[in-house]
Amino acid sequence: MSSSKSNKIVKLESSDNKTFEVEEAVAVQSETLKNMVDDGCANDTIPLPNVNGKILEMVLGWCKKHVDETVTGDELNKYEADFLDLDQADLYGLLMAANFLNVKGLLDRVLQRVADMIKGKKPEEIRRIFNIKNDFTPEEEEEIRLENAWAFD
Amino acid sequence: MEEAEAERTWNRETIPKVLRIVSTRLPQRDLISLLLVSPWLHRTLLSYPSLWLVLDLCEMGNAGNRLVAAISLPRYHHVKQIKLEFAQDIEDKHLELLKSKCSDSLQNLESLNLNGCQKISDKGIEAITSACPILKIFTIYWNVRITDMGMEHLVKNCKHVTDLNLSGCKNISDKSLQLVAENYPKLESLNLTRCIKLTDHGLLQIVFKCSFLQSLNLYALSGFTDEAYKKISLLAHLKFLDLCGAQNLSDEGLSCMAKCANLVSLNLTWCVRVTDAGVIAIAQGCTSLEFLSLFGIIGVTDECLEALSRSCSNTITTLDVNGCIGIKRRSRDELLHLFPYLKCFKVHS
Repeated sequence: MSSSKSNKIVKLESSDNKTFEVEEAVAVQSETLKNMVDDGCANDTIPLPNVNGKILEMVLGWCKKHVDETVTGDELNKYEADFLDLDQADLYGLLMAANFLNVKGLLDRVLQRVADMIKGKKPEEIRRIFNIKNDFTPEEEEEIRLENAWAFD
Repeated sequence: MEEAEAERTWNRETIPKVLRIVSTRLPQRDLISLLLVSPWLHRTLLSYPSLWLVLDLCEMGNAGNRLVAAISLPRYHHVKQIKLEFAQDIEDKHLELLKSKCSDSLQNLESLNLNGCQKISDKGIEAITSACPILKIFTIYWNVRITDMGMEHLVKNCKHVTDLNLSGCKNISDKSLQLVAENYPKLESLNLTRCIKLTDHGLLQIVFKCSFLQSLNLYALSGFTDEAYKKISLLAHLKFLDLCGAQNLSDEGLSCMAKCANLVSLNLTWCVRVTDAGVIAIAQGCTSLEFLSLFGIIGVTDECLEALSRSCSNTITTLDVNGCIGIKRRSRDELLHLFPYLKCFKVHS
């Protein structure tokens, strides 16, 4: 019958109805998709309602690069480093997608990038970086600050 | 209107979701900083108990008061691990306060690190152990105040200890080892570094009763003799054995240890009575050996290295033969020839 290396195509549909077709070897970089393939649920188009087309294309690009045997170690390093040169909205979309699709290497990198943005920063700085509104009342803020004062030098 | 809606979604949904995932990567201080950022983050992070299972106050000053303040918070009610290594200003009274005010929060505690907390005495041990019945890992390195009495409290209150580190607790005697042997038959790891009061009598209790021991550290204990060393052979699950400074250990004693077939790491630094015979026996019995130090042993020759190479050349990655003047071929290249996977050539400084 068929050879041991599957030439199967996996079809994916993003939240904004864009379809993508990739080889199974690419798709299974995602543990989530791998589980579906293993369970025999990957024969029809798989809908991904929480990943939009732009982000899905990025994730699949990453996966493709990582199964491409012609890519050298150095090229891959550079690719990975440049990959996260994104604006914040895309970065977070990527994080959510990598988390949902469980693409380990990608998830690790994105998590580390965002964690590095937070490390050592005060709450006000974190709000600035992530454009977060301070919805605390002054009393609430003071109460929470006091009850957690033990954690800081 | 649309902008307000987008802002709402960003603040109340997107940011909490994203940062909740990132929070698993953050050290404690940054994680708690996130709590102070917005009420939505605060609520989201608190709703994930798995983020709040470890309390880390290592090296902090005023640690006793910080500890009580932290444990009083509801989010630490299921804390599993408390780290106070080299924390300053933590005393018995803080542990007593924890017991009287917050003992409910310590019911799930599995791991307690009091390394370097030199002010803690038996009283503090009594207090804290009475509040954490399922404690598994207890480490109190470098505390010269605790005595056998402290160990009595530990074995009375905590029946499930598997890892015990008493390194540098110089006032511990054989009585403690008897208590440990009688109460922890499933003990996996025991560190008795520099507990200089211990004798063969105590060690024998351990080897007879703690048959599941995987790690035994007897660093800088020169008082034991072959009488006890020979019986280490009973520890069939032993993987890690540190005998640095075992000046009384003879070839006969060491040969018995060859029965510990699962041994991965063996430190024989300054075991000055050992010769080729002992090491060759080990080579024949312990074929999974990865780490071996023969530092300072002048009685071993190239013969023992050849024996080791015959059985362990695939596994040995650390070998310290500095000061082994009886071994003539021990340059880096010569050692690599015998042990191709060797990475580390120096253990003892």
